[in-house]
Amino acid sequence: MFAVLLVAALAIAPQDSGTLLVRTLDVTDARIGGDAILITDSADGRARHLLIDAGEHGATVVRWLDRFHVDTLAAVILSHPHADHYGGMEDVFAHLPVRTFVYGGTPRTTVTYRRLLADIAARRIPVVTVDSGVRRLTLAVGGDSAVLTVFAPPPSCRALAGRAEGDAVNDCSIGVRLTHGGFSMLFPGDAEIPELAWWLEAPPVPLAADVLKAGHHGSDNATTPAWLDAVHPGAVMISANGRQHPFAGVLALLAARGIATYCTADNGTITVRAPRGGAWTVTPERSGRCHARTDT
Amino acid sequence: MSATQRWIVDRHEGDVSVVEIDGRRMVDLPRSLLPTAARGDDVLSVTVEAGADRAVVTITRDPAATERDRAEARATIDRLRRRDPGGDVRL
Repeated sequence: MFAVLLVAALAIAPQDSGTLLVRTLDVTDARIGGDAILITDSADGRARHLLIDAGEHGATVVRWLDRFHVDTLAAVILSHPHADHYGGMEDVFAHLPVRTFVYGGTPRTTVTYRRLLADIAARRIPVVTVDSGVRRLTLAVGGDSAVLTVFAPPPSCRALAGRAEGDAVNDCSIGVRLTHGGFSMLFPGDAEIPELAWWLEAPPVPLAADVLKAGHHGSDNATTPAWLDAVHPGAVMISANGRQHPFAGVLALLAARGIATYCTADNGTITVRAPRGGAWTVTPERSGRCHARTDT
Repeated sequence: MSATQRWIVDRHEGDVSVVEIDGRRMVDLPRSLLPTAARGDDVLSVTVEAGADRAVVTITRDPAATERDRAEARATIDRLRRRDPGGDVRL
């Protein structure tokens, strides 16, 4: 009798209890791409969600959030204020409750960005500004939790005439290291070689990670041998627009090291599943290999 | 027919410039069409004089408008900073 009850209890237990899902959403379209990464931790039949970046088109991201039954976001993280990362956020904030906004506090002149910040101010959402050091965010659900350690760009990004302005916004990306049990994943935003070098010189967090979200959509100014030596990923996710990105040289570099590589432009939405205490796996929406869009 | 627009450079991606038009939408333009000194964040004043067979588009950097918009962004960021709970955060 006990055995029967145990089997029955196991049968109705949530299948994804204590499981972390990291979905690199396919926000590719004919012109643009950007990043939008949905992180979901679930336990005891409950799930909590967090979004890193929101692509450029809000409608595309909102469709994905609806498809995955996301009704609240515990946080939205903006890696850096380029339109292919923040452009969809206004629609996301209008579509569902967002509990916390996390960014690097970089000023930009674009009207759409200033409107987004004004909207966040009007909604009275707590704002975590990571412009120095590291900030630790804990996404807790039931008896489980995932930790996001957010690390700042170089101090020059805070200077009025520093890197944050003009053409160097990529190098003012905030980085995120996600951990769940023994699993780890690194998100460097669009950081290019100067910012990567700064992080490599004095790592603010352990850079080694099971999975890496490639910086700057697979451009060769954001994935280097030194960076791969430090991160030593088992798999790389490339959120690419399928027009300029990814670069052939980056795909060749990853292939030469035998690193499993997935691209949203070719594979659609890519899901990393990391059960607590179990092995992590990667499931692309479509099978197939990544294709280069720039021949360098 | 003459018209004016306000563009802001979001970023350059290789030989493509992504430009915000009148605060509403982003478009891709050949970078070679913009002033050579145009950088991300620059506000551009644009006049278009379109005739049946010829259109003349004049794109001019507007440093004063750029600085005004940048100052407004900084003010909003300073306001948002006061909303920071500080330290580690349990979401």
